Amino acid sequence: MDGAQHVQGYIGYGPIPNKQQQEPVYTGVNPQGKRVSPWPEKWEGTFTPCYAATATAFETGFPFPSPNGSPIKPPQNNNLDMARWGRETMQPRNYSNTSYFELWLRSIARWLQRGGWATTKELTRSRGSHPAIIDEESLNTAAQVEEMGKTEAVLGFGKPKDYSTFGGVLYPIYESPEYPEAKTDAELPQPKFNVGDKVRARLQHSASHTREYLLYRGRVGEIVAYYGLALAKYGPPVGPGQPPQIVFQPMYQKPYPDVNCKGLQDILVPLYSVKFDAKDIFGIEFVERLPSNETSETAIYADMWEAYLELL
Amino acid sequence: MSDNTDSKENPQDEAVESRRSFLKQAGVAGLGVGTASVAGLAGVAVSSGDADAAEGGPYGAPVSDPSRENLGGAPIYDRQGAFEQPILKPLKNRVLALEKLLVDKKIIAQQTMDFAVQYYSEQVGPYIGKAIVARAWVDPSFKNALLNPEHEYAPVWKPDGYPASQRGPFSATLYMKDYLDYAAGKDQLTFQWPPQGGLLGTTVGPEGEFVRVVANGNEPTTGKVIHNMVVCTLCSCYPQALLGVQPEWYKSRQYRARSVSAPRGVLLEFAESNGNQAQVQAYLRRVDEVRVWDSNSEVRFLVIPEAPAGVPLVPGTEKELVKLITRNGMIGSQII
Repeated sequence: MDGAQHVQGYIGYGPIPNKQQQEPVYTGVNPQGKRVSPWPEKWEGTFTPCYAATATAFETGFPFPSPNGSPIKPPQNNNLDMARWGRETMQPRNYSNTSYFELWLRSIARWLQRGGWATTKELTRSRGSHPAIIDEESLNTAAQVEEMGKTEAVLGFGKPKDYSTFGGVLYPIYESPEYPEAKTDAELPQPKFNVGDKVRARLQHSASHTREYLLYRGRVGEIVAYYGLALAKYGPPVGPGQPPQIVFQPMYQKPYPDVNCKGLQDILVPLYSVKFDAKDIFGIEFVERLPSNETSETAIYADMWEAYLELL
Repeated sequence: MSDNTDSKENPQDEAVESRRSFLKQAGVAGLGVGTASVAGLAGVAVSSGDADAAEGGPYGAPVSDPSRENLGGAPIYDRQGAFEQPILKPLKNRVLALEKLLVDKKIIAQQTMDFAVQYYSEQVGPYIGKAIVARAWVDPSFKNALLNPEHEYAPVWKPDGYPASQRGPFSATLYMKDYLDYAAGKDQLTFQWPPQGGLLGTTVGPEGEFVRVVANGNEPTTGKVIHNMVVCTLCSCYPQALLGVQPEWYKSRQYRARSVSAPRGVLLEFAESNGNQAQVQAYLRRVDEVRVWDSNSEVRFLVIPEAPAGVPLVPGTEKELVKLITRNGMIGSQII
């Protein structure tokens, strides 16, 4: 989504905070033999599992772990890219003033509301001694942005071809002859580009989640690696009630985020590592160099899905 | 503003009028609406056949997608502080409320919450990455396999070598997992791995499934001296399976904003806080290329830093070497 989260290269944020934050240690291996928590405050350690466990449950089924140890069919309409989109669905001015964990909290609240796992009332009213988690206006703003995202074109797929209702909510359905919803590895698309190819990142204006940031759009880069493509395969669970084990395959297996964030479709699109020369992004006069080493170069490597790119 | 004549005499109104006119000419629909005195008028005017609609609506270009009308149209200008966020209780209290809600509604079991806390605070942490880096320092074939995971590789823990089907762009994750199992079995290291059997089977855990390893220092293929720095410029994607929970600075907008445009400045800022400016200055004088890795897919990056000069890299000394390695060094924000 195009919004206040695109801070790449922005000036004026000031010094990087807490550079000397202690490394987490849990055994006696540090010289003082003291345990150091990865979280500066305890509630942060409560939030991380809230997010991690919720995300895992969304991918593996509710409740997690299941009481009788049997796998439960995962709900289709939730995934990590949706959660990432959820962080962005704010008024840009509010986003700029919102802290890291606050952004995630809002995203999870909307996640729960949209999926029907918690009601608006449960999220926006205090319960016993616990305060309201979020305000209704924030949930409404997020819903409004999502509605807009549902009608939008996605690189490589264009506008939605259809809509489908799931759990009483309307979701867009995208189709592309180049990138079908593969059910077997044989149906997966073959990469169109080769290592060494010069490519340009295509332009877009996004109301939904994309990992092609403003920084890269329109820029020319070089393909330096292809990450392969395979459907994720699962073996038996590690233990009763645990999520199934992923079968090791040395290839990329995650869906195209721009479609995945819409909720109902897992579509795999070839992914490449693309090298951008900093001078092609910031201009040669503005590339950072030290007076003592003026020939030193800067390269920015981004992972780009094939649909983001056109061959030069 | 009252009427047209008055507005011309009022400098403030004139400024507003002039800005509106500029935005109209620039065709910035959303911003044009932003200067209107009543939010959302643009949509009304377009659909009611206002005279201006023919040339693109009263405040700018025609709105081709009606769903765009209501977004970004809130007035934001000097005299109105609209859309302030409602006052909510402190974040800490609301996070605890979320935990209670998830548990009460049986979305997540309390034991799962506890397991997740234990996983992130006790099972994963920088000690895993340090063990990998120490081994890479003393075992060039391991380092080479991590950097070029598609090549043939037959380490001591797999004398027959890895089959072609297991060698690909992300085999480093398998080599690391197998090495950690081997090292834990041989009790070479101070940690036990995996304490409870690993969460995701054959990989090294969540955010460790698709790992690319990059190395600082001389790159044999190009003859260049490389420095690598890892960032997630959008949020905070991080190789948690190898380094644990992100430090605060990694999640900060300061780091996200500057690491791509000024990685050397970031290195020097860390050097200042570490008190090793001279070392970093000298390092940067010999670096031919700084590579910034933006973690914008599910691929995660681990940096093998250069070992400090003069330290003998002898197999069997990994237990001592891990003490030299820092978490920040494996992200590339620090020289060790």
